[in-house]
Amino acid sequence: MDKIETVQEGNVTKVLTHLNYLKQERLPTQWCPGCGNGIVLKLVCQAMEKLDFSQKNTVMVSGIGCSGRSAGYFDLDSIHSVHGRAIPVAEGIKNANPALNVIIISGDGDLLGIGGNHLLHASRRNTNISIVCIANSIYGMTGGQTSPTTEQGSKTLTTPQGNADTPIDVQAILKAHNSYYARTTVFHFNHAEKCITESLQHEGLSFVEIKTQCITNDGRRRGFKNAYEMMMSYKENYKINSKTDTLEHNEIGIIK
Amino acid sequence: MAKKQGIVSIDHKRCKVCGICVNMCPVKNYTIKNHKLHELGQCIACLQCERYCPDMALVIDIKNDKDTSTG
Amino acid sequence: MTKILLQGNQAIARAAVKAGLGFYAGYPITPASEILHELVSEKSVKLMQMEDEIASINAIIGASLAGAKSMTATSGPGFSLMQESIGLAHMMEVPLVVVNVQRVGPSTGMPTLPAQGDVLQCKYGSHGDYFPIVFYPNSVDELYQYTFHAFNAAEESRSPVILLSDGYVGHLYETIQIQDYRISKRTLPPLGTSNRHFTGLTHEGSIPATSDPEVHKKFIKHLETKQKKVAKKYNGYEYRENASSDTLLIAYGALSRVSYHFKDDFAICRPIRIFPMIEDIKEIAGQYKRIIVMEMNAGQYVNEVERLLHRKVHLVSVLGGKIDLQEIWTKLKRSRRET
Repeated sequence: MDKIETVQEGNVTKVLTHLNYLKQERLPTQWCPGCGNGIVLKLVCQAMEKLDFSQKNTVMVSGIGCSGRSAGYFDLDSIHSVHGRAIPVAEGIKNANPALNVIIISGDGDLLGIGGNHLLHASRRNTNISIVCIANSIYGMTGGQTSPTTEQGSKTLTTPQGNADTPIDVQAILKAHNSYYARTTVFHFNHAEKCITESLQHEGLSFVEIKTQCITNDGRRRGFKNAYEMMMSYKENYKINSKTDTLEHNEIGIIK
Repeated sequence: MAKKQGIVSIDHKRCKVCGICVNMCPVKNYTIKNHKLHELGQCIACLQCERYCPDMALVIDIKNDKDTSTG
Repeated sequence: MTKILLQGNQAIARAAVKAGLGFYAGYPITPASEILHELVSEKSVKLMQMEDEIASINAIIGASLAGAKSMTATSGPGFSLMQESIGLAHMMEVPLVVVNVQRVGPSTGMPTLPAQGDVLQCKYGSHGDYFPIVFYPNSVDELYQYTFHAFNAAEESRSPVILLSDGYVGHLYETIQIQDYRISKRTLPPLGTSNRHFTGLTHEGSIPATSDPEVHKKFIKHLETKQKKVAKKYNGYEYRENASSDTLLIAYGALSRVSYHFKDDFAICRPIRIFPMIEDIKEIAGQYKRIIVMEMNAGQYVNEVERLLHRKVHLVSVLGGKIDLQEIWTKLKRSRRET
């Protein structure tokens, strides 16, 4: 490939091969400073690199929202569909050409809110697509409204007294249809990379929920000073569970 | 014992000065001055910053020089 | 050439297969379900029964991008659900065929009865500006033929082409001559060949999103020119001259079949490509003192005709799915007396 980025410094040359998967000319990303979406992009690139995915066999699909812009950064054929419809678009692609690896990167509001019904049925059909859900528990692009994964009691723009509703139990939906489900956070980098790599290899529908920080429209309202503090809260709040086949709300792990 | 050293390259076009690396670095190798990220040359190549930088702005090259000190 | 007895909906399905249909996604709905049924046993077609019409239209967008000629069929309620993604397909320039077998609306209306209430929705249903090509045949034979044209026009314009039908023509059985029609090749290289970015945002070349008004103006102009250019190749209409009459009767779809009964009293013009509108109608209308548009809605195409001709156009509206010759004749006579 001709786009390998090398960094020359003295007699040391380092090759950042994972950046091959991104359109270099489009960086920096348009996300806010401290946004975790960039880390997820990097994670997906690394997993793709491990599995030797290429422009010839991979398609990236996303929906709408901050994370909906992800697909456009990949140096692949990519689709930025309408709000909530990344899953049916991906299913159409996979069915029309099963040789393609179809990866969805989108947000929790997109995949679980407006597009929740499609997830339900795609997992029922067990279409062989990989979904990476950037779960920042907020509608970031529109200013910080409650999303389907907002924790109970959490303050958002639309729930100033704290969210009264329970967050969606994605695990239960995917488990019911024997699909691959993993929960991880951007802080648990190696774990997240493992989750994504395994999900890309999984035959059938796979769903990786990555807890990601949105400092601008979520963190600040909840009292975090910066993105780092939010990432540290993932370190404190989430423990890796590799033993049982059900994850508690404060656990991360893989369920196949 | 060989002491691990890193050479830090900051891509200032990509860096949004979010401060994640400043807080992540165990040896306090980064500082922000005038809304710009600076590096202080103490990198031990733990790669935490490269990994968590959301903007792909940091590249750390590991330099494995033979240690010349007595320690 | 073989003769065969076919239902309108069946004809669409069979023609689609001949035209190279590779992928079909749909959701059952009266009176369009027969298209889905007809395709179930087709080996060359990958078929998905989706959870709703929104999923159907998005699945065919994905499949079309992935390299398969794609189609979905629905009726009014499903067509309403599809609108957002029809706009997406115009924006991303994806070739598709969307069949709408109309029934009485609004809402659930009268599902088993025919209507022509979605005519304006075809043109204005999705938000923003776009210029769809819409065909509305009036017989089984023509449905068969225009399914080919719809696929060809979709490929040539790289846009969703709408094939309108109604509960009457869709469920009509007629003997048709099976003929071979021209079949366009795919014009869009399939996914997995490059690093293109398909987006619903205003875009230009490698710029995936922009807020530049000039780019948007240029893009809309491009859509308009492209659609008009392709539409010209499918200038389908029928004109039955009547030198003894001073009135031109414009009708389309199911109701145009009824208009033939009045051929002695009126000249008849029947557009088959209903959008973009047939320019020749201007010239034809110029020869007549009075223009009447007859349609199965409260007055939709009549406004479009008025806009095209810049003159008063009378409306004969047939509502409720019932086609009663006597009632229509009375209304026509009344319209003819008006000036």
